[in-house]
Amino acid sequence: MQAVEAEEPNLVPLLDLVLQLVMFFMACTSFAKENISEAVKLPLAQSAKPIEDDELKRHELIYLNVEQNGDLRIRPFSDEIGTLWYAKGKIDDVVTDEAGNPKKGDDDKVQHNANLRKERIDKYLQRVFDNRAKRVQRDMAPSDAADPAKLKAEVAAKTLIVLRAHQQCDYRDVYEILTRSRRAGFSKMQLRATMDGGK
Amino acid sequence: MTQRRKTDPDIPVALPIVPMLDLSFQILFFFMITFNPSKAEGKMSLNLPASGQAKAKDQQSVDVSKTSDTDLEVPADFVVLVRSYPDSVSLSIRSGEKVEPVDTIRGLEGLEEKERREELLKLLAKLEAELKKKLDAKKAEEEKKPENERQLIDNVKIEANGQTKYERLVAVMDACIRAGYSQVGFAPPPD
Repeated sequence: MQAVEAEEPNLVPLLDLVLQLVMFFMACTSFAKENISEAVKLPLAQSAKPIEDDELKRHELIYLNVEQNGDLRIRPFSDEIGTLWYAKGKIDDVVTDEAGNPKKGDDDKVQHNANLRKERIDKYLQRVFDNRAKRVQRDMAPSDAADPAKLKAEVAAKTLIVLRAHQQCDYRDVYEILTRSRRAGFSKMQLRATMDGGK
Repeated sequence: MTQRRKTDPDIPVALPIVPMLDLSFQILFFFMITFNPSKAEGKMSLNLPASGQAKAKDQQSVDVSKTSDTDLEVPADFVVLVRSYPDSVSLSIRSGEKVEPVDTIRGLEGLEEKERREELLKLLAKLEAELKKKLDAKKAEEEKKPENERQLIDNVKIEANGQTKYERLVAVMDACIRAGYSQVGFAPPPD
């Protein structure tokens, strides 16, 4: 008769569980960083409402992160022919030459021009709008898609601009971004703030 | 006993599980430590009217020189004027041509962070109270009208100077919403 051996606890399921937990934490760290810039510290607003998931799902989201100095951090996007735009992910006011390298002034320092940033933001928003229009067009009835007014209305209805601005950035920079978004054709905008009682 | 060899065919020990588990725990602890749940984010929605409407219903001729900037303005009766500087903040309410000051606080740079916030909160509480009074007065006025003529415009515009810090702007927006206004619009900075 064989004596029943005291077996070691089976470690394989335990390992599986540990791996699950590791995967969870790995995934958590990566998804958040895509659209959310860590550099942007949001202001506190008591009347800030929790973000509704279904509102996010119903719209295409354009995240605009505004840093303390007014620079815009954005996500690069590719248009319908596959060109990648704004690979650097940043719109600033540095004066550059044709190649995109910063042009140094007489004092050998990088030059800034606030109007440049406004123009660049304009171009960016128009490109985003056009890109959205092309995508939205595919889902519309052909008769509607051909009507520019209806197309614009559809893009405005299906796109949500999420503005995450740093506490210390100037109102004029935020206002510029809001007006230019409006001018580009977007109408749904969301300002992000930290909710009261948050960690 | 002597027949049992190192690699007994019945119980093969091919995989050293214990060291693997140790490594897994190391990786797990690493990710747990670097896990950074940020503060819960909330939103304040701005649903702007279609471009044609905003211009047509605009009751106030604010900054006629900047024609395209009326895009962000919702039709509103009152404009909250915010003049915020590092050292002082002054709030007033403009309706039509009349400007009623709410209050001004000065000497902010000399204060501690906590005192600064307290002063700001007191100022905003005054603003909230004033706005609430105006909203209630408006509501009472509308009640007197016959049903089909009622038109409650509970929108308010904020006009802040360019260098107002975003956090102060949001604090003013907050006060407006708490006072009961459902839509807050922005007017172009006067500077």
